[in-house]
Amino acid sequence: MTPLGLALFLAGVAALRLTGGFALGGVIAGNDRVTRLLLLMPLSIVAAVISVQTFTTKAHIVLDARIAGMAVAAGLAWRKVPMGVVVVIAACVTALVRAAGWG
Amino acid sequence: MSSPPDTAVATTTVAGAGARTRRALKPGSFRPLDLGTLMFASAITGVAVTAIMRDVGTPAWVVMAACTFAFSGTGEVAYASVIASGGGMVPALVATMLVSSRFGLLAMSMTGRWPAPLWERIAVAHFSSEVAVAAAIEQRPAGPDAARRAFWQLAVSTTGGWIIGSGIGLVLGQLGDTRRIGLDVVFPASFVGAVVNALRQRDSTAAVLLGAVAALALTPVLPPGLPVLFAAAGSLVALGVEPRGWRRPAVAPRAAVSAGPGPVWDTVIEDPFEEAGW
Repeated sequence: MTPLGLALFLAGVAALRLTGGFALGGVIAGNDRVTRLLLLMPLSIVAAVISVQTFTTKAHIVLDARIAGMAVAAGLAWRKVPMGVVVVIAACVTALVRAAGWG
Repeated sequence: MSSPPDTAVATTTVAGAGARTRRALKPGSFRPLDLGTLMFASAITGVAVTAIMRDVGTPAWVVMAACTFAFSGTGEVAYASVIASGGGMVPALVATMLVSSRFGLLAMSMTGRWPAPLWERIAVAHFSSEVAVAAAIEQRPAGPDAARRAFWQLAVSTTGGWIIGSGIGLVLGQLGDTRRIGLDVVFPASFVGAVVNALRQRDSTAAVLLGAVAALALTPVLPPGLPVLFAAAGSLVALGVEPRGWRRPAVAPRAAVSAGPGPVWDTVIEDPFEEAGW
């Protein structure tokens, strides 16, 4: 990344965030349906990021040890285990399954 | 006059009745251990991203400026991977904007969650990340203060870890194969809680499943970043699903009645799975 690239990168990301937080967020605030949408949308995005990071590598669907780690993580989170513990156990399970020879 | 710690001890002795006492967490607050783990996880990501940026010949100060002021690790990786594959600056920036576009939507979903002055609204937009936004949404039933506390605790710890990790990455260089120790699930595992919790309600379950499936289906056919962006549209479909828990209540739940004219989806559902013995 060159200094010019950096400047454009910073400006671009800031523009995206401020557009969301002000231009879009400001116009539609107060509408009940929109309020509800704003609650559901992050869930869709977060679930999408999780599925992409768990089941894909580059542009391919790849099923490997990550699935085991994330499945355990989901189970623990369901049982309301603290986040820090969930993360550590998920990493350990993934590492163990890999060590055992899968993915 | 007793100092605050003394007061705390005295209260403990009286009220604690021998039980090991831990100061109760305020709603929306995380345990220091959780925040520490998350900070560590972000630091690891920072080290990895710095290595990728350095590989394509990025000066150290540019790496630090990028991680400190943009807070988009995936954006940096997208930029670096286009450059590494022989692309120019324009396609690299386009790729960056695509993968970072979700931050705009995340920032949008944080608007109006709690009363905030202008500077805080700008800061919230800047620090909106999956982890912090997911936690704020999850804490919403506990009130705006809890949502705000959860957001900022996670935003500060992940940003702090991220910047420190990027700095360490400049010194360390390559970490080696982080996949071997399972570090590739650290990021998704850190916000799996919000998603799992969303499965307790019908409409949020739809949002989660549609988002996850759409992103997977689109990954082989679209450039990186776009699948997640389009997956956000899953929430539009989920809007048509009834906002309530899984068990059909025999009578209107008390909370719904006492909540008065508030929108029905703001009704706090007393954990239906707890009752069912899950």
